[in-house]
Amino acid sequence: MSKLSKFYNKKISEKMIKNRYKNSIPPIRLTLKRIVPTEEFQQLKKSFRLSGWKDWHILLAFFNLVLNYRMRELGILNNINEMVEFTENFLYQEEREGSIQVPLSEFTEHNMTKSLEQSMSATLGTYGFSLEGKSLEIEEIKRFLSEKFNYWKDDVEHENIFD
Amino acid sequence: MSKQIIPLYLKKAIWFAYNKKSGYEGVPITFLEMEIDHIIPERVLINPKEPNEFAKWKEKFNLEDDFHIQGIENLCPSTREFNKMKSDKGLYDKDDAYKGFIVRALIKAKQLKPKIEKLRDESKKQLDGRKTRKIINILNAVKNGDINIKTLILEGLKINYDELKDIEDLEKYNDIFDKYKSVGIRFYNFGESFEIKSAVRYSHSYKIEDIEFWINLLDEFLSKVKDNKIKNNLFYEKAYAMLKANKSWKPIEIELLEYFKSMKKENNLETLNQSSILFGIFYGEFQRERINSSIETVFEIREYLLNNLSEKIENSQTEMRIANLEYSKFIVESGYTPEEYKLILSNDENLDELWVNRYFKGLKRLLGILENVKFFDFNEFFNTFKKFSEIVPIIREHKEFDDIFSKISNLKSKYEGNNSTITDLMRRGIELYDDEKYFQAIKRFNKIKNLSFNPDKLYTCIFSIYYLGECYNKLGFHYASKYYFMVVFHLANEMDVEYNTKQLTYNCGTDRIAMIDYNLNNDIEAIYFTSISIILREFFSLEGYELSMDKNKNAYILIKNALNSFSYSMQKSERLKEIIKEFYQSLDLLDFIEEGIERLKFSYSQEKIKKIDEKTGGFFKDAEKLRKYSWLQLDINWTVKWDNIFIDTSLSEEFIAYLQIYLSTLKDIDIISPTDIELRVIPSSKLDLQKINGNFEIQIPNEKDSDYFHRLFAIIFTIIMDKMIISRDQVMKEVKPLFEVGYFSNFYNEIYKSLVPSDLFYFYNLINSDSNE
Repeated sequence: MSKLSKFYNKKISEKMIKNRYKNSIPPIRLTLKRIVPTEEFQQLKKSFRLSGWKDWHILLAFFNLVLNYRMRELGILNNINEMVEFTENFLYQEEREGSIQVPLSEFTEHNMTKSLEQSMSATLGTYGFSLEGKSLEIEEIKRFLSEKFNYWKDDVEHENIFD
Repeated sequence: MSKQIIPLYLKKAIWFAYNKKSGYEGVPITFLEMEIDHIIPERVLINPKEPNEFAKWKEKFNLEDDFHIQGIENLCPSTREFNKMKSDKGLYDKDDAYKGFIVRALIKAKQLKPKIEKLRDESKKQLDGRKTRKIINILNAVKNGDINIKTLILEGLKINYDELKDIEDLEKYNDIFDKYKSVGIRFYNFGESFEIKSAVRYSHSYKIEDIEFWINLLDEFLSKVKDNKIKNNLFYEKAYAMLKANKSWKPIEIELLEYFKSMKKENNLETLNQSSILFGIFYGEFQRERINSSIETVFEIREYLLNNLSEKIENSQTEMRIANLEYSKFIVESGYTPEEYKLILSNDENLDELWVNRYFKGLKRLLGILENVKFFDFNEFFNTFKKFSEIVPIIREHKEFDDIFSKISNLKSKYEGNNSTITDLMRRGIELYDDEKYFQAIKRFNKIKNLSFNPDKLYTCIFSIYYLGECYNKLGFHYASKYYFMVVFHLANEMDVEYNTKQLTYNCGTDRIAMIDYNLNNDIEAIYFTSISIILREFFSLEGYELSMDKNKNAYILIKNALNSFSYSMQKSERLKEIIKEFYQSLDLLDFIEEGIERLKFSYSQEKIKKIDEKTGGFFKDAEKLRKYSWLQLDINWTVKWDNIFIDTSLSEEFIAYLQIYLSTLKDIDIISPTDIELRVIPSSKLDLQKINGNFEIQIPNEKDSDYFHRLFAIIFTIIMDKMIISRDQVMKEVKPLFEVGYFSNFYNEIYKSLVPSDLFYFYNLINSDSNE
């Protein structure tokens, strides 16, 4: 694997990133407002950026972290139907004041990295790849997305979320 | 409309002889505007209104006995307007308004004939000289290296190719004519029959003065040849040539009746079509009282021709065959039925209407069948219909004529439109092949293959299939390659095609299959195809067969390989030596090979044999009891295993070929974690897939349904999805062309079974038992 996928399209990739910026903010808007200004998170952000993360990677990791925390707190992680229902509601709604609050201590480098890695399977799915029933090393997925689909290179202009 | 082809030099001679004026009105006329009219209408020759019509014209205009309707004495330059007005008037028109013009024109034509002949010969010489010089200049430039023929073609150098083709055709004809005039027929084989056929056809179109020679030569050929197909083909050519030369069929009437009788069970498409055409003419000759047969005989022939055609249509598997047989049936049915003939005898006025309505009903039915067919000669259909409608006016007067005519024109235009892009596509395909862009070339050649699958372009079609084979060969996908080479052989062998196309059976067919077999270490099969290749060369040869590196490079290499296999077996073991000797003997190759071994001092030492065994596993891998083939594709090591039994081998090779073609379309898809895949092929009554201990067992049926490829590709997709992570969307996008109609026009195992004799498996068993001992 050394060259970009024949099926990679920069415009489509940028459109997908644009959608991530657009759709990921409303369901976590209040949490972002609360967590982003903290010193701890700003340090974390710097470290991620130095590692080559774009803002959409940080946003995606943030988003997944919030989603998973809330599902865990609700105790629905073992119930696929409830998970699907919760996720659908979560995706399309503005975050409300009464939502389960995710503590700052959850936003660690380890948790954020895990969250982004979890999202990579979904990203593969958007290109038509299904990991169903197959085990795959995360490093292999990372390498594949990076080499074939410019995963760590593409970005679009976006509103300032983390500064 | 003139049926006679007036060559340019004759047209020019007439124009000058008449002082660049119309022969009827004496008005000045440009060369381009001039039409050459037959003073006594040509129709009188082709479709007389009554049997003695020509005699009546002769009597009325006091013409001499040797007057020819297509002779210079009957040709007159005319303006288009006058020609149209005059039409075929002169005998049946009551007011006889054109009599004066006709008489004056006949006198003038007779007077000017010697002058026209002189001018014609001079003009021809001049024209030929000019064309020859032009050709010589180009050939010299090519010879000197100033122009490369390939560049010339690829760059599309501005040359009038029609003109070049005319010259080439004439030169080719002259060569053939000189050859048969000096040495006569030597081999009485297919090759010579094709060559003579092409010359006869050229002669009755452009060199009618030679036709007597060709008819005599055809007689000689027919008296000695034993092959029925050649016999029927040549008899058709002879009868047709006689008609074109305006010779009566009475001298060959008994042969003709025998020929028709032999059509009762005939199966060959071309022969059936030819017999329909001859019957149509035969019926016409009967009506003109130019043959002795009775109407009962005519109807008896009509009945069994129609019965056989109907039976063959019923049993036909392909649309192409059905369409061509239906066309033949339509030709036979175009003549009067026995019921209609009774109306002729009773002078019934309803006859014309009854007949023409039936004719149009049949035509509409035929058009319905032809609309979706690709392999059909629409040009011939269009020209035949047009000519027929010109000589049978009630067809043109029919209310549906315009509608039907435009439908046939549209079919013809669509057909020509398809043809028009083929040359450009072929050039591009060859460019891609030369640039080693094989995957791109495969796409291009597949497109050409589908577009050119019609009688006019069959040579190109077969060549595009040959190139597909070459592309897969270069990519190392040998079974895919073998599939296409087998299709080349099959098409060139089975289709009724010209001589050049027939040569492809060995040049691009068997030779290449044998080469692939050598690459696969399938030596027994390779030797078998080598023997077939030699037989075909002898069958089609025009020069006698000569084995040399210069003249027969392919055959030379194949024979050298056969010598290698033979030498190996002679030293390997006593038992193998006996088996291989028996095998070569069965192919009638033993003496030939032993002589070669002796002459070339071919001998393998035990040390060399040991080295070969260590390096390649030895010769005759196709004899192994459990066969196995492995290759690398999509970063996956594929292995297919099967039992070495006739059916299993044909189905396994078929599966590998289709798998390689399928995977080739996926060369650009993204794969995560490719893993080696092992498959076992088992013949079965239905297509199925089973997973046993992590490996796949694929069951393949001998008889295929119409949706076979859809299901096979779904199974391959399942195998791939099971073993690696790929994108379904990517696969679907890439394999789409495989589902287009005509991508796989022939089943591998069907052709394999028709090409490879089960006898080979007898030798496999012998060799195999030898290696077990």
